Amino acid sequence: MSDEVTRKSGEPAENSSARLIERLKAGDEQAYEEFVTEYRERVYRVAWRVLRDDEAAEDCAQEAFIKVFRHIGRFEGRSSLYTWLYRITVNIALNKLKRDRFRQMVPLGDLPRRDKRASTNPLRAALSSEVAERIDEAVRQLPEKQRAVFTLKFFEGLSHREIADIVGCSEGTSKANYFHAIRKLRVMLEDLR
Amino acid sequence: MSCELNKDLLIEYIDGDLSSDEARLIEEHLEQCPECRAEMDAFVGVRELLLDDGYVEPSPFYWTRFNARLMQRIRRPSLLSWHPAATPRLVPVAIATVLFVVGFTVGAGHLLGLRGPGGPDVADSGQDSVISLTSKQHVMSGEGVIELADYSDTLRPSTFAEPTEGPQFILARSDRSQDAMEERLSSEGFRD
Repeated sequence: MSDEVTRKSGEPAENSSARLIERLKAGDEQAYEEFVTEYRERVYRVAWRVLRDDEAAEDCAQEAFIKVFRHIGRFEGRSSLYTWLYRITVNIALNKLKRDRFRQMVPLGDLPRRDKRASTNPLRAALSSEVAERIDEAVRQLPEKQRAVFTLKFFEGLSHREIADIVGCSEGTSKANYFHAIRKLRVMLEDLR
Repeated sequence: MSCELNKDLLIEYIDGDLSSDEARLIEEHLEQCPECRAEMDAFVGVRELLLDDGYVEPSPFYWTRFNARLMQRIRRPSLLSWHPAATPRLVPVAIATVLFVVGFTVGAGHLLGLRGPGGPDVADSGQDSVISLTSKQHVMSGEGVIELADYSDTLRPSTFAEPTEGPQFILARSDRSQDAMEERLSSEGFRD
């Protein structure tokens, strides 16, 4: 996958991406807004699927973009900008999950779930069904890292190499986490098929 | 379960992660192995279920507000000062702050009687006492991290208890070296 922000016709994506990074480093606000607009859906989606909560996902996404803004000067291009952004997002989300679990000192699967009736999103509330609840419950049962790997692979379609880079593990570990997640979900959702 | 095929290969097959040769071998195996066909159906079934996991894409209006909130947070002066492009502007400000605090502290020392009748002139004594730097402000510069004293709560009573010693002001390189800061940034995932 390559960065596609502000790509002009006929211009190689790398050049476009390199120029965007330069503009971001120079503090160009317009470039920053373009960057946010390009990636916000992906960042929010990953955050939501790891955290399973609207407000927490928004906080996580905003924090991720702010951290990119703060640390763009240290970005050296060893990985692509979007991989870096994903890594920051996943780290924030995983840290939040750990903090919440530590604060409440309850097993992972028993963390309080979002009350869908109280959801601020009417469409989401309308979609609330027994199946969705069961899937939500099953995904929450996955350990944090497994949940992140599963999200990046299953929903974002990233390769295990990219996921390994984002999550900070080997390609083999990424695969193992993903297979474990799929097998667990299969068992937990067996009766729904 | 009698078939010894690694079932993870079925997951990879469904995800399209196998090479064309590997995929062909799996297809040939599935034709003659009912057990793996059942496994395959199970994985396909759970995959279809999971696609509707309750996530709903927010509305365009939500995204407009998202950008507005984010840009508002970024424009806050405290955050702007973090941006690398803004950092050089901080250095003279920081130096001016330190000079002001130094002047203020010396003046306060005089007012509080450090220059007692017949006692030594603290400001001119050339001797050292220590102001503890308990609260520090980190300033990033091209040369590394500098810690500047925040003197708001740092005057140690002993400075006044030992009027024979003059104050020493410290503008030191960080105890945490640049390397340590680099390491911390890497561990938190801010390194690309």
